[in-house]
Amino acid sequence: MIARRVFVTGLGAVSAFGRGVHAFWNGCLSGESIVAATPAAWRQYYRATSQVWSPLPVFDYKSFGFTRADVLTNSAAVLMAMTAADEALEHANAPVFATLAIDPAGATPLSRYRAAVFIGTGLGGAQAPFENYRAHLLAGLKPRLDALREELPDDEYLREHTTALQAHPRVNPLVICQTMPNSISASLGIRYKFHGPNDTTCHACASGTVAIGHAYKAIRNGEIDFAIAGGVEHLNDRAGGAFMGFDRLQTLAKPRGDLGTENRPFDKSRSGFLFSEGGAATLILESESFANNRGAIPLAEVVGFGHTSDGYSVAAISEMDNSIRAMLDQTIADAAIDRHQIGYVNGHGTSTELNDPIEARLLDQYFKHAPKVNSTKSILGHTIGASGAFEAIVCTKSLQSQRVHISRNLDEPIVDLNFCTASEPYQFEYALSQSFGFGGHNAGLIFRKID
Amino acid sequence: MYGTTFEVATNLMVSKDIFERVVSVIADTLQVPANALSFTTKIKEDLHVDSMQIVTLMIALDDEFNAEFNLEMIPTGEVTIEWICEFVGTAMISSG
Repeated sequence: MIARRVFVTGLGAVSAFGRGVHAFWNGCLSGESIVAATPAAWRQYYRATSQVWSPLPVFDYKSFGFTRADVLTNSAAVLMAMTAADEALEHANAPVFATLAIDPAGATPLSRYRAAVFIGTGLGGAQAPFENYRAHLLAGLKPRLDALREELPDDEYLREHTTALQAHPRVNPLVICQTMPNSISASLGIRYKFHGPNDTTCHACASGTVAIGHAYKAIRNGEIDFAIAGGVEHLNDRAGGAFMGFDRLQTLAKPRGDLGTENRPFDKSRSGFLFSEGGAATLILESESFANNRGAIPLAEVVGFGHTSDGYSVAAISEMDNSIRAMLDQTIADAAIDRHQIGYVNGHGTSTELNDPIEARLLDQYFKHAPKVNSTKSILGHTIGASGAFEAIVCTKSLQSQRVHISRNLDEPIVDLNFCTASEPYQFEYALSQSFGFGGHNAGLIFRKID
Repeated sequence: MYGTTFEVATNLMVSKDIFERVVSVIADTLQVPANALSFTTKIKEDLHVDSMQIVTLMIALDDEFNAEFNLEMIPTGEVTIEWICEFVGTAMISSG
């Protein structure tokens, strides 16, 4: 079997910086972070240690061309995925790509069976079960709550609950469809009429990286010609259920005084990650021959993928019992390069107590030539299943522009790596992005600059 | 503006406002022209909707009127726009 080259030809993003890759990448280069106090409503349910999050803008999806039915029946995760995928297809000069299959020009007809979707997500459409179960539980209490509200008209807690019941008094008939993690990739397949593999990868914080890796392998091995690949996450609900779960696990950034300084990947004073509401990041991958035949412009080349699992813990990482080094060996072997050719590493860099020192020491030992290192999570916060895909976009944009973004809030590094202390020009040929996920998933991707 | 004028309606429970809003929701949700809809339009037979579109329409009507539509409430026979208007009107009266 002859391995085919795989190009990135389009990018799309929906992030805390807004709609579009331009907004996202400019946000990274600016070194600014979208940080706000957590919603007051969440604090009625739970007294959290962390007090901040990185919220998404409130999007008017109808202004993006979605119908009322689209907005009412799809989860926010699906709407973001569609928005990002639309942008990526447009960027790849393949809008509504399915039409190419019947393109009268017919230069490069694409079989719908060789067009695929690979999307990673950590919790899928988590908002749907959180919201609906709440409505389900409270519905039986409504008469009692209404009576109490009359007795206690100034009680904010009662007011919030009864208002919520009036707004969402019933269980959504699509709660199952919206909860299914595969609803995101399936919705993209439905939207673009792609009949090839439709794959949902669920590897927690490594999901996006694994999804892109699987797409890359499927194209490289000749199974498909074209793929939408990426990661999507949306972790917001009225009561802050997902936030509460991560907070109770002691993984979130603790208060520091100045808003925006809490999230400190690879810094000695780090205390946890910045909880992000989520986002969507998508890449168009296609074979070299298919891209060339249709005149697509390659942005970067995917040359390596590796994936291992620790077999150790569902949430923790171990200095001794992790399989990250094996993942790096696999990824670099797959790329058929020497490790010293890696010029830039987009680290997992979560800002958690456990991850950062283990990752930093390993990078220090593994790459003796001191490649540039940064953490996109230092700016965006942790978008869980989408994070690896956002970082793949950063690798692509960094290779294209020969610029790296600053690793934010890094005052006292835990290990003396060659960290990006500013957003600056930097000449390099190969970029490595690595992601580690709850459950012990380790995944790496290597991208090469297009000459 | 509609295929059948409001005056056709004989049920006093159905206001012109409800009729116009129901038609607007159906047109928007099912992507059909509003002027093709009337009191006597049969949702399944005339508009050729599938079961998923029925669920979507229920959600959209729920969103518009804050009135719950359960599948078991829908009569086994054909549902017309008039039936939907009457249902919405009744639900709105019930909820005050």
